[in-house]
Amino acid sequence: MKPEQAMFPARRPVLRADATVYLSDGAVELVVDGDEYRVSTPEATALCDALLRMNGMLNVEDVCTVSGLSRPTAEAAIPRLVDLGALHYHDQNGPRLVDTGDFARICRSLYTLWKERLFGHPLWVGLAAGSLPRSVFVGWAIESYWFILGVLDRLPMAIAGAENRNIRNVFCRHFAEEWDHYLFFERALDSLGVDTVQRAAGEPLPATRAVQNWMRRAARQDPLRYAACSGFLESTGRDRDSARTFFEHVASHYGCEGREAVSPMVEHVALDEAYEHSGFVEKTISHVRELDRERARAALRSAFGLVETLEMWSTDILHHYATDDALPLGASRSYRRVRL
Amino acid sequence: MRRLLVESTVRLSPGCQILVQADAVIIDTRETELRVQTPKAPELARLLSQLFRPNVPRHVISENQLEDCLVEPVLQALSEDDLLLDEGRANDASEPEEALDALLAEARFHARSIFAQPFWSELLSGTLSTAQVLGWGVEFYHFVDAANDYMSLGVAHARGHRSQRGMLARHLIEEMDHGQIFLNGLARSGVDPGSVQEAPPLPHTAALVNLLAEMAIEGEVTYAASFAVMQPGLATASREAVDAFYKELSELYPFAEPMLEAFRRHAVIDVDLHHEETVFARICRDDSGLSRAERIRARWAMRALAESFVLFFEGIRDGYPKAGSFAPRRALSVSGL
Repeated sequence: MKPEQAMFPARRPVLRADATVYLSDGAVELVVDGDEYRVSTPEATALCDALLRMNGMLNVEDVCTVSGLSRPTAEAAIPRLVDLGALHYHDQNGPRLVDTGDFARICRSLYTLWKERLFGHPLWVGLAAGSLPRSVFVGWAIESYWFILGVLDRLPMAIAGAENRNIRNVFCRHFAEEWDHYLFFERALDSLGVDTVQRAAGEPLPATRAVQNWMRRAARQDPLRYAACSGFLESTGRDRDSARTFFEHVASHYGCEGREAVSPMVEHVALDEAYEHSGFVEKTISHVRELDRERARAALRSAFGLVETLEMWSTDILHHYATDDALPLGASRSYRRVRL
Repeated sequence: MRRLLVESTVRLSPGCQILVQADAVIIDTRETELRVQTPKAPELARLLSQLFRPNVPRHVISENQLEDCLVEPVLQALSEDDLLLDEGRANDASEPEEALDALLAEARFHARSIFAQPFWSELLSGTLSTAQVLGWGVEFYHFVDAANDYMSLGVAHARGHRSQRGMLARHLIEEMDHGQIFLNGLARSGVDPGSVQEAPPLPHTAALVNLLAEMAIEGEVTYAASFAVMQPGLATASREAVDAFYKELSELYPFAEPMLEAFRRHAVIDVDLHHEETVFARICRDDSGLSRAERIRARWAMRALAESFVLFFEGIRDGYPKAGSFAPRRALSVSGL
């Protein structure tokens, strides 16, 4: 028996956090990065159960025991899924430190995958296709305004929490360039008839507040967590052509006022690009001398949590503004009214 | 002088469904049903539908061809069931006790909307999946365990009503180990405790915990107001009622009986500690009561928290599979890191 075969039962497989696994017609369906894999086996139920339990806490032997998966099937399936990039083995004995350049590269590659995932959400697809009602388009503009306005709540918290003077300077400069970008969105809302009275009376949706509070927590915990989260937000404007195409589609579907509303948003993307905000992680990490593996992992988890929160945000906008009484904004709202 | 609800700005609970049947309007909330017999049923139903957004009934009574003598008793009955909110009552109250009554009524109103969501009707009808029920246990564990986060912040940021800090501290100490109760219950239901602790909460759960933390950071008024929603006293708190509720759930979901026993045990501890007598009431009675600005913030906190709880239960219902096996969520793990 080869050494790696002997070690196999003790290895701790990890299924990617963003992979989806389910049973379909007696086979296991696995979806990773939009690619679908189908595994047909008489042990489909056990394999599906086993995959869901692969979180790096349990070794192969334990996973097999708990799920009832046979060792031969595990030995056939797991290495194959490792090759496909759906699984990897938890490395307990890796180096304590992570190269900061590697960290920035990992961020960059993950952001690309996460952007595809986020913008595949029915809200973004529906806005680009013009298949969503006007109220959802207006609601998206309103919540985007509050989201951008939230920089006043989150970035000063990150500045105050940054002990490293150089990182603090990066955050300060970012704030100075970013703090009044809500003005772009005020213009967008003006053109949609959401005036200052409505804006003063209204409140962000719970999920909009959740995005802001998630980033405030990251800022309280570690400047690197904040940078990883903010880096993802800034990366969404990195691909200027995609952003412009998205805005062109949205503008074409929601009439004259839609075009007027989207125009300041396009200006906003261009300004962020001119400021080179997409290099936020690189600028921050260049001032970190030693990067502990645990710290790097926590920062990436924080950024992934933000992506999940943004998906929740997209769903919240879609649900709330599809109702007929969501607009105009008022002092209190009927949130998730029960309907027959 | 008693406030006339037809003259006030009022709002109907989002949990109400308005139905018309022959000469009757039925206001259904899944828990209660109010039936109003009247030949003007369609007109009354139309008026009530106009109250889902804040509105003064007086302004729409005549356009619906109705009269005060029909509308006012209906509004009163809805108000007594915490299904109608008088938006100005808490702000206008002149005495601390009057303000407290109004704010507690507001807390009950918002708490009702949480339990009107589909998660609860599906839970009680036995139609939730294994993953949704065990997922509820995991997410509730995260929420209870987060007491050491947001409750600690609440004690540390209580800068106004300093005399209440002892009670805030005792409350934190009573709650600080309760996460273990749920962890043990989940373990006895076959869920690996290490995997539960490693699992990231759903974003909906994180949103709830983070909101509570922000309210705690703001100060003791918003922090304590959040407990008025979490412990609203909608039903008489008794061991018997708690036992009966969880016995029913255990019969519907026998695979989760040990986890549900943990829920029961935790609820009984709350009953014994009289957590329905919230610190919020004490703060409202403190000195000269809450200022108008504090009442506005307390009302905001109650509304915002109730909405976040709606999102929390929506997250459990939609975030865990409706069929198939259950495993706690996996944390992000990058190869080589």
